[in-house]
Amino acid sequence: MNPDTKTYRIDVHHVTRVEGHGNIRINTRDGVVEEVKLCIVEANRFFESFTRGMLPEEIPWIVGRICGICCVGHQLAATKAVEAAQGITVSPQTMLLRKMLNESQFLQSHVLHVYFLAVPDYVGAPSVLPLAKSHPEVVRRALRLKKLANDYTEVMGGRTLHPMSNTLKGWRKLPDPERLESIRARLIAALPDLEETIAVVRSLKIPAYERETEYVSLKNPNEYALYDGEVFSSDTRSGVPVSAYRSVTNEFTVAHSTTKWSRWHRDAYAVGALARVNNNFDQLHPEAQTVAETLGLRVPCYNPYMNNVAQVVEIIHCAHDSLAMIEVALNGGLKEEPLTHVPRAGRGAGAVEVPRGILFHEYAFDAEGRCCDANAIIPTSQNINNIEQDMKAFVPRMLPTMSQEELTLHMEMLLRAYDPCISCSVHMLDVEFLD
Amino acid sequence: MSNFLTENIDERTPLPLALIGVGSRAGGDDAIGLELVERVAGLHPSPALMPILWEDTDALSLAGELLDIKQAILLVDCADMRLESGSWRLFHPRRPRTYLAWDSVSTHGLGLAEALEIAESLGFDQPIAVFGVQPFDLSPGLKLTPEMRTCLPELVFALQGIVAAMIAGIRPFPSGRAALLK
Repeated sequence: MNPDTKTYRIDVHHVTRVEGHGNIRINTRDGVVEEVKLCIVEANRFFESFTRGMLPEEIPWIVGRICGICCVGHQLAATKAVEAAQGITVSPQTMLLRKMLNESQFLQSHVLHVYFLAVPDYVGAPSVLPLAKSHPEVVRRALRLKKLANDYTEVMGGRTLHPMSNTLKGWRKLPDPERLESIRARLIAALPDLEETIAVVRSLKIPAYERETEYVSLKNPNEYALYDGEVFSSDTRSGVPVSAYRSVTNEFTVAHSTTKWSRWHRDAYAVGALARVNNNFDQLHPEAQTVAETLGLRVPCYNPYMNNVAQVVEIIHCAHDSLAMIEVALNGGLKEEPLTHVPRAGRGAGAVEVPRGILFHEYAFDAEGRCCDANAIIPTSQNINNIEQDMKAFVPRMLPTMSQEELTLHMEMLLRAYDPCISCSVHMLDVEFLD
Repeated sequence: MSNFLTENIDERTPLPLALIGVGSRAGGDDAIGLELVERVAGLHPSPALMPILWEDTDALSLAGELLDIKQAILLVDCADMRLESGSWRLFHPRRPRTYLAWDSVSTHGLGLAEALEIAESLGFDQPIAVFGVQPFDLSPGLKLTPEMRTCLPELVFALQGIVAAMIAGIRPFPSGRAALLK
């Protein structure tokens, strides 16, 4: 077809293999792009209102329920925000345990996204179900890795999902050293599976489209920042404290999205694995740096499709970093710590990196120590604006050479590459009897 | 109709029956599978019965867990079977039409049917049955609905009978309705 006559009407009503509901709308007429929109159609759920009137210690467990995938991240961001509001500082042991818990969820989430949500695009499978038939070894490996990560979370937090061990000031029930040792042994045994994961991702043909944007992540002078740090911008090469997070997100609304959009120093910014790797590459574990090179990820990388590769790099980082942290925990000996706390008035913000990017929480408490104000800004709402800007930049470039089906697939893959988590829903078996 | 609940159990699975409760305690009646397994296992602890709770477990993890089980399985779960609320039905997950999210919206869109499909694709072939309970309400909440709590004694009784029958290799009753006590 002559590129000058291409007239496409693309309306992907609920993009598949993303968490939640988003639509892609693209109109082109005679080779000219007229409209490109990423429409978020989920209803607002106002999670913050759940916390009104709650005591400080109750909040992290409740808000962890916001998400079934990032439950650890929500719990940790809330814990840090509440502790900031309550003037609580924590011990090095508690910091260590929280970092381990956080990395266990990174492993869970990244394995899930890379294998079950992203890889099907590259092998022509509509979902993990046919993938299990066409590539059983790949799915078996993915399930093994995910089970290991699940068990790691369970050992650290007491439960695979919505863990309960972490609380204000410390740990209600410390991880069992024998089970921790078992996780260490299993992580070592899983290294061949990780090598195979690298081989799988290396074989994928990642679309080569670039758009430079502002990359925002936590940054910590002492380590690859996943648990703590300042909010860093690749534009200014400087950071601001987490307490100033509203000056970063600058949320605003657009008519076609129920999700608020964000912008900082330019029209949009990106958070997530690629942003972290771009901003903090030198602090990745050496093995992860080597894997990045093997997979062709050179920083700064401006290809958003490479976010999936950055996730694999972080899987390797988290596996090796976890091995080191488990060693420290086992050698140091874990000790019970006092957890009593008298609630007081105050306001505080906290942030952690979760698999999809920076997660901000903020809480205020009245004179009786009851929560009177709350705010949570998730990574996906920070990314949505940037994803649409990518689409607007890429569609005119793709249009001359792609059919409507190819263009649609590339837009869906782009959205999926960001691993968006738009909402959660109830699971339930849906059955119709034939007799 | 073959007896899918007991066929091959004796020959293939000398291990105890895996009685698995599936669900979430934050979704009202979605906790019924967990509650029933806890009650039945607590009332009659037996070396022939291995109770397992899969609480808040996503479908992909369920698929992985299924692959690790080498014995007959009775899954207890809340299920929308288009039946009267409080009713229960025993079925093989392959016998009814279970809707598979073949082109899944997300991992959140994957459920037990998809977990089983994935596990079977990867070689899972243990005898399996589902004790499904039709919910009253799945709205967020940390307790079963009052109506479901009223049904609990009959549901426990029914499940106990099915477990005993399966362990003994006898074909159990396939369905029932827990009478609401006014």
